[in-house]
Amino acid sequence: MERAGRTIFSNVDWILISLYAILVILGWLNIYAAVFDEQHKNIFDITQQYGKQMIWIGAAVILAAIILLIDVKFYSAFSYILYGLGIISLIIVFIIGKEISGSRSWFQVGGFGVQPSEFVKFTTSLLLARYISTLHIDLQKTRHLMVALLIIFFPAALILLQNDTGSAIVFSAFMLVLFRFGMPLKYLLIPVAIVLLFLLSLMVDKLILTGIIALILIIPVIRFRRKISRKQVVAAILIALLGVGTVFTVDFVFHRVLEPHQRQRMEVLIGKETDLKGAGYNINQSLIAIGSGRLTGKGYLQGTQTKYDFVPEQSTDFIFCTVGEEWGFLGSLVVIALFVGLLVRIILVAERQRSIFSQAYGYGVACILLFHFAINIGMTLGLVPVIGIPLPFFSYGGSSLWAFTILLFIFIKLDASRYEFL
Amino acid sequence: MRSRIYVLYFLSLIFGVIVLVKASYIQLVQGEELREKAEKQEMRYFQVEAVRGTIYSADGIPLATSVPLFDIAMDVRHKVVPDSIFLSGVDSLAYCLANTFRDKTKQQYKQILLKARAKERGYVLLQKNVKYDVKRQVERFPIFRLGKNRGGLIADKKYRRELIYGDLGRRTIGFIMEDTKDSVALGIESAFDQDLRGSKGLVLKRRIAGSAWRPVKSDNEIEPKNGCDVITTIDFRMQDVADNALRKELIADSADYGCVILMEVRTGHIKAIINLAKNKQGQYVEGANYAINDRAEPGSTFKLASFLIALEFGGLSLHDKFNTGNGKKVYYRKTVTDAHGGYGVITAQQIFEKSSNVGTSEIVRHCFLKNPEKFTNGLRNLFVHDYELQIKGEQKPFINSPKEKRTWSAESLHQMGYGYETLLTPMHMLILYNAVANNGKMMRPLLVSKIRRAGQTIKVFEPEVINPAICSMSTIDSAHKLLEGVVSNGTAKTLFNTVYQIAGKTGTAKVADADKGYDVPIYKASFVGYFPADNPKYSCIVVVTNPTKGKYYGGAVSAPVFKEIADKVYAMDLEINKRAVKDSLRPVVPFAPAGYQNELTTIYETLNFKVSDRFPAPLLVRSEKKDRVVSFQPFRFSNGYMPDLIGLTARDALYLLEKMGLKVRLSGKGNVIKQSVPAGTKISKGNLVQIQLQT
Repeated sequence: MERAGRTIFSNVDWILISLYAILVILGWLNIYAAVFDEQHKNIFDITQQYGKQMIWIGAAVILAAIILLIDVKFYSAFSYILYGLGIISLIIVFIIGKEISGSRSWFQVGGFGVQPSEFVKFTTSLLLARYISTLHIDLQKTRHLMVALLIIFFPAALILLQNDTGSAIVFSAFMLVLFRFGMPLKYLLIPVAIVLLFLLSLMVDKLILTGIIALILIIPVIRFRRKISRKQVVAAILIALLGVGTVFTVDFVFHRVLEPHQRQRMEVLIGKETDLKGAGYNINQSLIAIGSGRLTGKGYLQGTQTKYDFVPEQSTDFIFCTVGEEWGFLGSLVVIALFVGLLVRIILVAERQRSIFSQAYGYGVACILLFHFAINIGMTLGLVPVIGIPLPFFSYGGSSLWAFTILLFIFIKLDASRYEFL
Repeated sequence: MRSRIYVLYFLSLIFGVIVLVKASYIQLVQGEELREKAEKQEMRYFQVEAVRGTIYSADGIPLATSVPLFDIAMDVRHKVVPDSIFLSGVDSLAYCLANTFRDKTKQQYKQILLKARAKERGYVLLQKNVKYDVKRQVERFPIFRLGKNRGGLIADKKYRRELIYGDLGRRTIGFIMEDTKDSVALGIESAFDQDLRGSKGLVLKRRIAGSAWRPVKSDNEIEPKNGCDVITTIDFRMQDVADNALRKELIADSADYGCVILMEVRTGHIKAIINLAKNKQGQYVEGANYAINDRAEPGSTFKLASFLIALEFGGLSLHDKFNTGNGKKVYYRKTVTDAHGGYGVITAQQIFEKSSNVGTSEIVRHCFLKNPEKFTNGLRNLFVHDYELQIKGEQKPFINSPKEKRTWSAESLHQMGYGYETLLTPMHMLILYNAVANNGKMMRPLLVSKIRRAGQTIKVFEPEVINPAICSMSTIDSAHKLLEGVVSNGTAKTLFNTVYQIAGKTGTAKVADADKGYDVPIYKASFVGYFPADNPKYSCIVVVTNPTKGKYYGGAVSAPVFKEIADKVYAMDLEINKRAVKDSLRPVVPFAPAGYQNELTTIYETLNFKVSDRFPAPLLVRSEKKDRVVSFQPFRFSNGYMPDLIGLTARDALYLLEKMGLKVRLSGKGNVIKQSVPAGTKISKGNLVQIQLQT
């Protein structure tokens, strides 16, 4: 590699940077539209959310430049320290944090809040990549897998304790990274199966469900009884017991463990709760806003459902409603295509890395973004329960924008220096 | 293991596709339906309250009117009031609120605001029913002064009915309480509700922010129609006089209750109507409308009716003599007694003047013993009419008759003669006396004379004759002599004076107590009559029920009330006094720049200046003087144009402008010397007018 004349932009992936820039700017324009009012027409008015978002974007650009400037070795070398700092900040926020809508997950710094859980995503990503890339670490070995799971779920547990369930759930996306790097399939399938079973037991009668589980597992056992080993039979029985156990603990979990609002959100999703003024209000308003955009939308700044507060949290969690209402299906298509394009590009770039560290980190980035994208847009469209997590690069808020910028640009930096890793 | 590379690709794409399919379903398939839903929730029809009309006295003073009140609240959400404004102003705002409303401390107000802000509340009620001037102050408070959009102030306007002179005549003016479970509706407010109410308007509005709606053009829009004004016949000053006089006597007698009706003889206009009853705290307040619903045996005031019938149909002459003996006479099983007994043989005139029950019984028996129905029919013709009172609650009269099998007995005839076995309200009795004063022409009592919309009279209630001649003119002449005699020689001598004459009759009825019957009788002391006797202008009845401080005769209890009212009304009535106020000195015309036409007229006419150009409609006028003639210029306040306010008092100017829906800012004290919007300028509701005052 020619070292002379190097700038911070040498070897960077311009496609990723372009996609990032387009999403951030579209996000800003949509925040402007979401909270637009006649009184404050200036998009640069810093007393308004869009003015503030502009400042966050400016700061994010500086952050991105700093990340590209730092020596690439820093990220793997300091991954333990960064992870440690993240954990400490999560603990401190318990003590001096500010409670906002039920979650004690914010630091109050001057006039604005900082949410450490957003930043812990990239520190966890870094440490996880570092751990996976360590020589002789084999995720098929239960002991190594447990360490990796600890890295992931220790911060998640702290965040859960802060009452910020949405952000905590995001960490389960790292399971896909582990899977990519060798974790046995069953560790992925069992949790997924339990979640599906949980939802199903809310909708279908428990006895019927028990019967179905029994049939699925017992019929093959009887049918192929000559071909399967005793061990496999025991496994099938254990799985059946686990399934039935799940089915019958659902009521307990649903009524005792979940918070009332979480329960309601699930009931809304499975169609049990249809109170459009209560728990179903948010999602109903969101659907009306998006649907009323039809094919081509109402036009920029012409959306009335979002702007006039029919949709809640219209500049943060429900920002996609503005896209749907003002730009219609065509706009939704473009935004979804941009996100899918970004994800595919990240995976592509990750796959071309020579170092396991960069590759694993890239996967972490992709998984986090995919999870946010799927859950957030899925939520506004009524596909998943309302989980309050932002749409990356789009939603209003400094913490989330900066955290995602750091997350992505560390990857861009790692990629730009891919030839330096041996 | 290689295949795991594709899992994430696959998941990214599959989520992309799922999301896209769902989006296309919502936007393309359900889009039409959802857009309709969206439009439906963005547009809403709002009712626009009509302002209820005002009830005026005959002399143009508002008795009951709707005043605007405001509920003060705040939108404390962060997106409305940013931290930079809220945190620096909340202390001084709390201080101002505490200082103005004085119901909570500064700390309490601050706590309320901070708590609500933490919960992101869009509406925190701070104070209900705040008057306009206080609301103006509140608008200048810290934070609030930044306006609706950034100051978070919410002031919801509503109207409350206010009786401007409190309890005075409350029962007759009436009230409507719709918000209670059983709606209460009484008096003029109730009877003329249709006129006063106006009609609500409808306006289509589009939501423009969280809780803000902006009106949009629509074909279905309906303008609210403000209610009409009702002009009563009540004269405010006479009402005041009557209230004072009755109240004083009730307190002195510690009576249960009492009422006064003052009526204009020629028109039947009720100039004053007062009902006072002792409440649990021992104060006298407007209770039930006794004047029209307290039906009872009237006692001696009824003797006028007996005499009218006897004179008309029984061949009685005032000089006929009857033996009243020693004041006690037994008819059948019952003894009739005279209060001050033992007059011996006296004339019919004397019987009336002394209110002898024995004598009256003798006369009635003498004239009608053979044909009692002739007597009772005559009485029924006198009293039983459909008076169609303009307010609800009136009781119908009852007159016994031989046809009433259950109530008629051998004693009925002479008992009726002096006012028993009949049930009449004070109003019934007054109508008869008024007819006698009016030379036999019986008038329908009127409480409301006109209905006006925006200064234009749209309905007039003309004086109405119930019976053009209740009896022959010679009988009326005799009746006048009888009633004048009561004051000059009889039971109401105390009313005699040299300035003007009163004619009337006392009455002291012993009525059954609701619980204890006749054994523990309660007395109803009454006086009914008219004045001036030579040319009657007003008739009046005073009834006091259950005086408990020793005196209970009509002549002692009710006659003084009558006299006080008559004296004062006589003194204030310009028409009666025209002859008396001739003044030859012709001083310089005093200049009163502006005011109520009636008040100015009173002043000028009392001083005997000539007043030209009186205007029928406008309440407020400006006076101009040329030589010794005063002329009035009406205040022009046709809707939509700025009136000329110069010279008005602050109160009048404020009243005028606020009635037109203008915002007013006052400076200085005294009368208006300057107005920011020149007279005659087209204005619309909500405009700001600055007024400078100077003494």
